[in-house]
Amino acid sequence: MTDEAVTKLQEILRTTLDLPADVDVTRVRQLSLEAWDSLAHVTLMLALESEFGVTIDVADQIRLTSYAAIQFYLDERGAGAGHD
Amino acid sequence: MGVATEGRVEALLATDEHAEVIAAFYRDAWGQEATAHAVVESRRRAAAENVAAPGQAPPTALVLDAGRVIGYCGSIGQRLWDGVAEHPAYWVKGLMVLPAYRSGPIGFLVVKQLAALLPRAAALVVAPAARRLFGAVGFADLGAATNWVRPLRGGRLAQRIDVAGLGLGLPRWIVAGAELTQRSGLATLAGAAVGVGLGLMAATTDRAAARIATAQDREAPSRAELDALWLEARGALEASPVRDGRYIRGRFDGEGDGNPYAFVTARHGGRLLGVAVVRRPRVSGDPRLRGVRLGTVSELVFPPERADVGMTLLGAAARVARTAGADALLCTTSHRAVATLLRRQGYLRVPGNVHLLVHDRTATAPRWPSDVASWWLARGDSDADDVF
Repeated sequence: MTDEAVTKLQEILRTTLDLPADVDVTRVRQLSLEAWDSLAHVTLMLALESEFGVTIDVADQIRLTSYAAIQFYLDERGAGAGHD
Repeated sequence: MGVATEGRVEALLATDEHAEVIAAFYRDAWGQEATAHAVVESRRRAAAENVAAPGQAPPTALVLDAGRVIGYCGSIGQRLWDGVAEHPAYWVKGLMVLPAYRSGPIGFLVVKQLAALLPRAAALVVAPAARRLFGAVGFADLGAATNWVRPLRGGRLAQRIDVAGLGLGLPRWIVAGAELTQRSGLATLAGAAVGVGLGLMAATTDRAAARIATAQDREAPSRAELDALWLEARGALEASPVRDGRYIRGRFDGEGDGNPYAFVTARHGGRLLGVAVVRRPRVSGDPRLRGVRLGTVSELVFPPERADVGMTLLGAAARVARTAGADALLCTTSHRAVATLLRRQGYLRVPGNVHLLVHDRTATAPRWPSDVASWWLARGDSDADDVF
């Protein structure tokens, strides 16, 4: 991912999960964050699809439960890799 | 009808073909001894009792992962009165997602799938996360119905109850005070004093309606009597689930000796003026109740302008619950007229936690009142009296 894409990803998580400014977004996990409920998860997935131009099927959505998992998923699909 | 996804996860409408996987879900989620046969039988009964679409099983949405049910949301047929006419509708009931899949998209998927199938629906929901989900698919949150509790055996109640754990939203000072009293051993005495005081208050008000005859019965009044009562009562109501003979007899009557409900009637000159349905207490497995026996006013029908009838019914309901061994009697209501009577009957108000959510996307959607106090709700609605 480009630096720009990483920044965008972090902003999406901060906004959709309403994270305070001092939280290290790269360490965020669903299990340890009360605000990351079912509706927040759906909102997050929709935002990722919209901003990164991907379609995330439900089976994958179930597994995207941390920042690290989401970044890995987007990397695998070349989302946010920039243009040559 | 289903929303197939690219992976193995799909949201769809349940049919009899899903009976085996639904039974497995019941066993996983609720620990029930369910079988496919029992699921099919239950669907047939529900179809026969469906007042919204007679003969059709009320819609149930499922989310399957590789054929296994991981999310479930059911419904119960009902009709809603809007102050002018009665309309077919559904209660949404039984939203459940397996623990491993919670906080993901499954809850949203299953609620969305069901909401799409129900043009007019209502739900009684406690959990804030679930309320947000319903809100996201178009339900309006009209607010919480209030819980009222009348101590019948104050000493026993004060000694045993887990005040903080009940989840009734009591103010901190009440919880702290109750716990301190319990620890100091004063609870029995204090509780008994409160019980006597509230009992006297209720007895005073009971006398106001002494000319109305009350009776307790294991069987419901006739359908014709209940229909006539409902027709009389509904005229003063802005919104309510329909509480006619078909509903009350179908919902509360039957099961022989195992029927947990008792019918309390108020009559004058033989004419039925009102009916209350009391759920007898059971020794609950709920650890918060610590053996406290809680009776429930599951249903209450009377013309709202007849406060004398309401007072009589509530007084008789308390006597029935006490005779059945209840330590306290719970009544959940949203309507302002009933709230006034409960206060006069010595019930203690505890903040409501059961929210009424409504959505109506029919072409001729009535203007449902947006304040919950205009709705006539009861604890038995949507089977919410199963909780205790």
